[in-house]
Amino acid sequence: MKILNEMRAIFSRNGLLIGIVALALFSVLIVSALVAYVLLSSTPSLVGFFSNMMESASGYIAIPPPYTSGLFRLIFLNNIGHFWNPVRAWVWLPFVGMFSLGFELLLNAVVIGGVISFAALTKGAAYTVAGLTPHGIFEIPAFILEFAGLARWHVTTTRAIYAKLSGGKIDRPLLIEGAKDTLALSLLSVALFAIAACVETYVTPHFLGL
Amino acid sequence: MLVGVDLSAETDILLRRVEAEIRRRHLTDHRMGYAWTIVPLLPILVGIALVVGFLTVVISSISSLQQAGGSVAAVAGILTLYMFGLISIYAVQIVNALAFYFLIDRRSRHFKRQQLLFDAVPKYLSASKNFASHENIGRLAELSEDSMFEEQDRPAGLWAILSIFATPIVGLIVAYDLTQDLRRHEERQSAYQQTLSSALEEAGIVHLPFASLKPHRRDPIVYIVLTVITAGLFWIYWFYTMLKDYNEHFTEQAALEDQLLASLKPAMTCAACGGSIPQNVRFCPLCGAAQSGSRDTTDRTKSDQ
Repeated sequence: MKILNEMRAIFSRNGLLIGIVALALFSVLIVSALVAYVLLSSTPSLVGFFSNMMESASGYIAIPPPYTSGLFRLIFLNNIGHFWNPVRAWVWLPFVGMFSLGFELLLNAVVIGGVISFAALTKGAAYTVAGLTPHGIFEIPAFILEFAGLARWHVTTTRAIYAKLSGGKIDRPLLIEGAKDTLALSLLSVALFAIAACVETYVTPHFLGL
Repeated sequence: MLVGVDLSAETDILLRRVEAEIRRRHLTDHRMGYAWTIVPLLPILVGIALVVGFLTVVISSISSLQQAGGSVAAVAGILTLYMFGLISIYAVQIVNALAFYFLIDRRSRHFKRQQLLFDAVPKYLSASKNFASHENIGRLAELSEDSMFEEQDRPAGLWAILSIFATPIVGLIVAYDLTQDLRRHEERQSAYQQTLSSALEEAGIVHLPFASLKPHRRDPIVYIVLTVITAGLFWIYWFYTMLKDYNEHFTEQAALEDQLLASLKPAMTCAACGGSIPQNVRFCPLCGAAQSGSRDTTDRTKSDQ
C-alpha cells in the first residue's frame, strides 16, 4: 500500500514530463506515419528499395530465431541500452547528456511511424496490428517512462549545477526527491521493457504464424 | 469632517509623476499578438518542406538519371533546394530575431516604467500624509529599490543579433531569462501590492481591494529540459507562454494601476453642473463654470492626520 501511494505521488510529480514526452512521441509518430504512407503509396519503387535493403541487412545481422532466450536477450538489452551500454549511457551526463535524447526521441518516433506505414502497405493492416500491438502496449509506455525519468534526472542535476554555479545552496531534499523519482521511473521502465521483450519473443511470433 | 488631501507643490508634482507613469503605459506595455507563435513553427515547416523537397528530387533523379541530361536536371534540382534552404534559414532567423527583440524590449520598458511608478508612489504617500509608523512606506521603498537593482535592462538589440548566429542556445537563454524575470517580477509586485494596500489604509485613503494577480510560476529549467528532450517541439508551447504570460501581466497590472490612480487622485464635484472633475481646476471642463472652492465628494480621506 505504501509503495502504491509512493508511486502515485511520483506519477503526480512527474505528470508534466510524462505527458509532454508522450505527446511529442505520438505527434511525431503520427506525422511520420502519414508522411511515410503518402510517400510509399505514391512511389512503389521506394517500397521495393526498402524491402531489398532490409533483406540485405538481415544477411549481415544474425537475429536469433523466435521463441528463444537469445532473441529475448537481444531485444531486452537493446531496449535498456541507456542503463548499461557505455556508448548510450552518456545520456545520463548532467545537462550535456540530454542533447542526444531529443534526437533519439525523434528517431524512434520517425522509425516506428515509418515501420507502421511500411508494414501496413506490404503486409496489410491485420498483420501490422498483430505484429506491433502486443509488445507495443508495454514498450511504448516503457519508452515514455524511461525518457520521463531521464528528463527528471536532467531537471534535478541542472538545477543543482545552476545553484552551485550561481553561488547558491543546493536544495538537498529536492535533489534527493529528483533522484528517487528518476530511479523509480527507470525501474518501472526496465520492468516494462522486460515484459515487452518477453511478449515480442514468445507471443508476437505466435500471432504472426511464425 | 471630509477633508481633501493636502496637495502642496511637492505632493502635486509627485502625484503628477505617478499619473504620468500610469498614463504612458500604452508606450511601454506592448501586447504581442498570438500570430507570433508562427516563429517557433517556421523552422519545423521549413524542415518538413526541405525533407519532402529532397526526397522528391532524389526520387525523380532515380528515374531521370537513366535518360540523357538527367544528371544535369538532378544537380539543378539539388542546387535549387540548397538555395531555397539557405534563404529560408536566413528568413527564419530574421523573423526569430525580430520576435526576440520585441519580447525583450517590452519586458525592459515595462520593468523600467514600473520601477519609476513604484518609486514615486511611496514618495507621494510620505509627502502627503503623516504616517504613525514608517514601516509600510519603508517596505515600499525597499521593494522599489530591490526592483531597480534586480530588474535591470536587457539589451534587446544585442540578444536579437546574437540569436541570428546561435539561435538554439540564445533562444534558450532568452526564454529562461524572460520566464524567470516575470516570475520574480510578479512575486515582488505581489508583495508591493499587499504593502501598498496596508499603507493606503494606514493613510486613511479608502480604496477598493486590489485584484489579486494571477501568478505565472513556470520553472524555466523544466522547460529547457522539455524543449531539448522533445527535439524542440516543446519550444512552440514555451514561446506561446512567453507571449501569453506577459500579455496577461500587462492587462492585470493596468487594472491595478487604474485602481491605484483612482484611490490617489481625488475627484471633485462641479458646483454648477455636479459633474465629477479633477481637483483644483479653475473651470469645469464639462460646463465651463468657474470653480471658486472645491469639495471632496469621494470620501477618500477619512481625516486629516
